[in-house]
Amino acid sequence: MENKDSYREIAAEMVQLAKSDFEYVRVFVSASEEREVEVRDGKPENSSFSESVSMSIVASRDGRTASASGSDISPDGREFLISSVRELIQVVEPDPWYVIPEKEMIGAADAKLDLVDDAYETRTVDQLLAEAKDLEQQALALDKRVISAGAAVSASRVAGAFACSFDFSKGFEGSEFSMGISLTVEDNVGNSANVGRKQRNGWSTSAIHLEDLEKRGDVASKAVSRTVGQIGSRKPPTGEFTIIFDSSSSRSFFAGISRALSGASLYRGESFLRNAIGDSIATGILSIHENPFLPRGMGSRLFDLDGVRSRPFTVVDAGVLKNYLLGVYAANRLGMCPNGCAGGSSNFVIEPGTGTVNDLVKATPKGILVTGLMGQGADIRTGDYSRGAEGFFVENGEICYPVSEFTISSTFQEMLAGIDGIAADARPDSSILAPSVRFRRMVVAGS
Amino acid sequence: MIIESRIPFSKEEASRIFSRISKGTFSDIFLQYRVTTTVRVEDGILKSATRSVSAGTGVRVVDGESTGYSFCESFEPDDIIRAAGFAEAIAGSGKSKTVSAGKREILPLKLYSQEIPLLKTDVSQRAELVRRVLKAARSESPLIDRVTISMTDSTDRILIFNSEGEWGEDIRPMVTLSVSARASGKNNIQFGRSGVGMRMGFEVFEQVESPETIGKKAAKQAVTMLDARPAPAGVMPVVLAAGESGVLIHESVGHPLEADFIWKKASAYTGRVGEQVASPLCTVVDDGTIPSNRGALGFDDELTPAKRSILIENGVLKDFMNDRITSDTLKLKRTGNGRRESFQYPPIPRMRATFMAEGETPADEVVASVKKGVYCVAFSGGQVNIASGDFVFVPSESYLIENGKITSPLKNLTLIGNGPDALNRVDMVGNDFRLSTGTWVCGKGQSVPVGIGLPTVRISELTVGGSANGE
Repeated sequence: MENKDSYREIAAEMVQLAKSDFEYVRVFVSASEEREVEVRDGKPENSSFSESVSMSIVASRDGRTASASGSDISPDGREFLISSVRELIQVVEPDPWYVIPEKEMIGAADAKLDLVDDAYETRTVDQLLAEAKDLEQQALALDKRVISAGAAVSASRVAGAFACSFDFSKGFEGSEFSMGISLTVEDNVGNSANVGRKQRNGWSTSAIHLEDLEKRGDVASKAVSRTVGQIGSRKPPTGEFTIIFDSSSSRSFFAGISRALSGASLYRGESFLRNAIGDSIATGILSIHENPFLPRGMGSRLFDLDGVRSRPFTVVDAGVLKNYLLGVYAANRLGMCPNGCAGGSSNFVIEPGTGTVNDLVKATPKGILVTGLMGQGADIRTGDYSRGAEGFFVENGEICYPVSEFTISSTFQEMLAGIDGIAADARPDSSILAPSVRFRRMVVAGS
Repeated sequence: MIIESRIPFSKEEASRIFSRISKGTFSDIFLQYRVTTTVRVEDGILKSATRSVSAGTGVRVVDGESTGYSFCESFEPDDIIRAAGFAEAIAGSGKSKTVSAGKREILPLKLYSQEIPLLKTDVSQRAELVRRVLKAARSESPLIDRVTISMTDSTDRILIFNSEGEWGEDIRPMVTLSVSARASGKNNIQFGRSGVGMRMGFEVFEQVESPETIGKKAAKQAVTMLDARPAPAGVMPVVLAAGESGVLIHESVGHPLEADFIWKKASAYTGRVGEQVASPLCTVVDDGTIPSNRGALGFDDELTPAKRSILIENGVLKDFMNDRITSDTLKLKRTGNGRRESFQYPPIPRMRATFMAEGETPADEVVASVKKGVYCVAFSGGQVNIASGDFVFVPSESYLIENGKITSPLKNLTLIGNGPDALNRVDMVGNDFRLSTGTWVCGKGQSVPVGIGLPTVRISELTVGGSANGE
């Protein structure tokens, strides 16, 4: 893999090569390198080393846009991409909303993101294997009932560059480390056709800097308690209940909100939040911020996919929708200004409340704590929300028994309005920073 | 462009690479060249066109139960040798051996066109096809105010060598067209979806479904959904319509019968071959030999010839879907289910076309038998927890059944159940088996196209997760 400066040169050269044929050209080069190992029962099961690069070009002329991408960045490969774009653009029709970005917007923001950890170089296969084995051993030692479905450790780095017709080009680079384990435990239930029932669960952690990973002992104990905690789970009764989402479930809920606020969903009319700027879309205790400059943040960046300079702003302020997440094209369609969110948010930060998920449980007379969600029943186009879930039944502020094989249903609109508790336990290993939350009421379909 | 000729790589070069791999008990190299073209329609205009090329070589070194994998984006022997060095790092010792590669050719079953028709088609012909879809969708109803169409065609050239002297080459075409239509009613917006995905060239639009039919279908579904009411919540009988509902089989039985989950003892079906695991009405098959199906493979991605495997016969568990490693480890007969997304991934056990076989009951009798329940016609997807067998799936078109008749369309529901439980509750199987021609993609760390199918089926009891409580 080359470094960001050489990719910057390649991207800039590519723009020069294509520039004369088109009104506006932008080029992305992105390369990555990854080492990953997986062990099971103390033995190495998989190891992989990968190194890849891809280059994409988006070119426009008279409101028509075509694009091409490939892994061959040699002069021949580049010529092939340009000739593909030349051929394809002939069948594309002019788009009346097409717009070339304003030159002043293009550029890299001035911020220190701290996205590179040189520890990548020290992560040899042997080192990763030793850590994976240790993680697995620690987990298996905690509970005799669990068996390993695999412990994995990985390290990766990326480098790349953006360039466009305004003679702007800029490189980027980063690193990422992760580790996780999944476990299985027998869970035979009487009087069921499902005599081979098991529970499978686990835990994983990832970070931009190696030192920010959760400790192996913590990963092992969380994985074990999540797995054995589900033993004997049964369906909860059908009815209406208060629902608590732990931070993982909450992350998937807010990822949906982030997609519903992105320009592409909005201008297509495929978002329940269209035409809602200035509206009260959520409970007053909810605020959300777009923060591209979070040091060591999973989504941190200095410019977006359009090459527009990044900047932080408030998305939802005390329940009121203040801003959408917009790239150049979507902003033009909606008659708004681009805000550095081509391709979506960078870091989508839900403002923390207080305490942890346990405090939300303690304050709940009767309800369900959801620790896992299944299925694609979250429709941001209409707002309809209906998903499979597992977790724990809560009574008098205490966890009573594990529950599974049920669905929870509502709409995104009602869920946002019904948030009545927000914790401060967001996990930093995602670009969606979501703490555990409590929803006043959802429909549960169980037994 | 390489796609029009063979991948420039010889048996001698393969031999040279194998001679440099000193460790492991088995190794293979997988060379692939893929060209993909996508055109998109939005706002009534052909808005974008994209071409992408993906080319490279994956090297795998297996040492007993350990697998090392690496790849390079090149067909140059020196680059491949370097990747092989990374791949064999995990191997303990194994015995080094000299192999002359390419001694025995494995011929792919002829299940799909080998004429790379996609590349002989001009982009303007692609443009014409999507315009026909657009016109049909718009003319279906004045309530249709947005149509999005995406059509992707790809051609793969595959060349595989292994350390046992086998080699083979294949050309795999694929055309996928999907349409989303939006209908705006008085106070309600709904969406409809349709599509076709087959291992064929553009003749798919003459032989399988016309662009007009595909466009109309999405529009019709969107308009129908405008009158949908919230689904009931609770336990009730569910009737699955023939075809698309095969996603239930894919999720609830297919995944737990993949041999890697059996190997890891993570599946609810581990160690249960020969046992009654489903209602005697259920026979479940995974088939890689259905011509032009999305799951059709002349041979799989490790040169095992395509097969048809009976997984469950009259309710009795017969077999697991395996790849080379799991077949060796679990001492199973090879089923040819070793598949990979691309040269960037090692093969793992994956489904091809997975379906429940036809029964004997006329389909209308199945619906007529239900007093109050749900009838599901189309699905937007599903998911399974392999260990517990719990699954969910999300109908995109479904109706209430009242007193044996299909009545109101329903919205916002999820079906949740447990695979082994649900299969034991299958109490009627229709005589109207149909394979879906839809755009199904299965994600299991890697994405691969798959086929699904089903006759009309009644499950006596399943949890329906709707938002209309107390109905």
